[in-house]
Amino acid sequence: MKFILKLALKSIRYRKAALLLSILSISLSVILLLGVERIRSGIHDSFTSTISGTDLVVGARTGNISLLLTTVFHIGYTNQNVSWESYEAISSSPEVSWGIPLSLGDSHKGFPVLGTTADFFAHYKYGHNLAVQPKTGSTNIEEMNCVLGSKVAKELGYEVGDNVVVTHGMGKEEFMKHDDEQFVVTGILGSTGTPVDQTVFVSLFAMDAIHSHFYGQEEEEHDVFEDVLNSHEGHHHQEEEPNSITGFFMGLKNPADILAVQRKINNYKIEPLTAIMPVVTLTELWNIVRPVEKMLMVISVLVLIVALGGILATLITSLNDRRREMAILRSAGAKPKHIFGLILIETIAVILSGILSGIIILQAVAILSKNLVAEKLGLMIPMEWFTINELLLLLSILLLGTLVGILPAYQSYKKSMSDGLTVKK
Amino acid sequence: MKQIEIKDLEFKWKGQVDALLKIDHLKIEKGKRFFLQGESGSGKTSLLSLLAGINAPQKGLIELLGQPINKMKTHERDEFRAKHIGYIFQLFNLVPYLSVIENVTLPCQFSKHRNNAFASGNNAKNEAIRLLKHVGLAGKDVLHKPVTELSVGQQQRVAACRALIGNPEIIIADEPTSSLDEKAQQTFIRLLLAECSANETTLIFVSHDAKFSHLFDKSARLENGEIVYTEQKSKGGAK
Repeated sequence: MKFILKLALKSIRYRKAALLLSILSISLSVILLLGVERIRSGIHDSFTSTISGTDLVVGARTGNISLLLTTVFHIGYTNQNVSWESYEAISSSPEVSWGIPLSLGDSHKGFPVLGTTADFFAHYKYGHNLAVQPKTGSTNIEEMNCVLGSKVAKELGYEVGDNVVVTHGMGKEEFMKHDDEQFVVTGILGSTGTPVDQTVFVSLFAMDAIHSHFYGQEEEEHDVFEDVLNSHEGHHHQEEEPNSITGFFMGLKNPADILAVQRKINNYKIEPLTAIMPVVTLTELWNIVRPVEKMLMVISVLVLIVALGGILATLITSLNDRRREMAILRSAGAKPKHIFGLILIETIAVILSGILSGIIILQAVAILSKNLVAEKLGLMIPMEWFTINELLLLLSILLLGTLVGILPAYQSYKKSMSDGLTVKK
Repeated sequence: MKQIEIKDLEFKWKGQVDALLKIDHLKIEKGKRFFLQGESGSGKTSLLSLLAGINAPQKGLIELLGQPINKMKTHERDEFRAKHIGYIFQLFNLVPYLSVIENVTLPCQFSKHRNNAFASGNNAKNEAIRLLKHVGLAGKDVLHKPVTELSVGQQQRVAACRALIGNPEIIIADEPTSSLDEKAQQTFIRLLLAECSANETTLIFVSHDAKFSHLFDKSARLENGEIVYTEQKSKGGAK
């Protein structure tokens, strides 16, 4: 069989012009399949680790996903807030290690403004336990200071020392500016690939001070505009505790307590609250987009099938032209099984070189575009060697290819049996 | 000593009603050169495929080197062919992606027997060069040319070397000269006969053209699937 292998390789080299297209179509489908798989797992990983290290997210009674969307992704509004008293009571219970209060609802030029405390930068983690770090400046949000996410700074062109005006509501329209309430940028964060990049961080106390009356009275029906006009003068800047917050993140001393604490909060007597484990709810949220993920996979598999079909067509057409070659080999003593082996090895070699060139191209593209993708899309495409999934994928391409190769190999086996040494062509 | 013997043979292809070949008796002695003439469609290619062990007859006996190859299994016939038979086609004898030497040594790759048939210290490659030298093809310009660029006459001579390498007992040549011009035909046949004589190889030479039959020990014609012996102008001595 060693000689047949040699023969197959020489035959491929002789036919390389014709086979190049087959190799190319295989390598393209390998690039597509692996690329989709890699991007998918990259998105999945960075999505499900949007927030890590936080054991529980707490907000007013609402659905799990909507609480996650509001507090972590800063999408949508909560109807209810959590009273400061409840926050204080829960976060000072013995099982709790730390709490990060969150106050949302304001925006700056379309970017959400998050009122929080310095604890956010101390305890909020994303990815594999990564802390949010400033790229320039510091994370000081005391008084009227603010810190910008990387995307906010980039899109709006802010630098440390610039002034930022906060708007009530989440729109880009600035009809409700607090003109006299300008924040000063003290720091710009590094890119994280999480909603942090699109967030303006201010002090919870400063935010509350600006418009405590909004939150204070929102539960009742009233005309916000009139309210602003009437009492705009009335706020003050002391670091007073706010009446209420949107929600809070919590870290526990012992992870074993998570379920117990979650149950306790969900049954909280004083006000209706919801506590979620962010990892669990992130996965729930991911499941919503799973069909899209599957579609991508299906499309890639279809492309692979088309590529394999192309190879099959090329091989079968070439077989007829090669009947004489088979007869010569037979006359020189080759057995039908040698003919079978020759064609099968050729097919496998073509598919293997397609796979290899695909991998090489993909790795090269991934390495070259790594920084670009991380910066532009905030997506860390994993660069480590192959995951089990990818290896399985490659293996199944090879298996499928071998299966595809068996058909022409068997055909030429049959033909060489019946043709024997007679060839009409 | 008989090398090839056919007795009471009947052969037809699948789906045929009447037998294509009906040979009562054919015997060729070791080292003899046998000329077989037949029009196209006379069944000569079928006869050769039987002799080469590609197909088996429905009736009768084919004995090569004293072994009944019609009773062998397919793979045994394959092995027998690789070991004992050299085969030359009418045209396009060479594998296009192999070099001249690789084409000549091809049988040695499929048969250990033929790979070990050389004098000690010699290998298949040297033997190939020796044979090529005999047929006038050992020049560097020929050896390193892609085989597709050789002339038809050169290709046939390379094919003859391939058939001869490793000293198979029997060489079957299926119209090897039909694509050559007269001068090349002469050269080719003389070279082939000389090599066969030197090695005491039994040669079965098939052609539709009887003009060279006088160079052979014995000649016959295939007519209606039967062997008809023809007058021998020279030598004789077979049977």
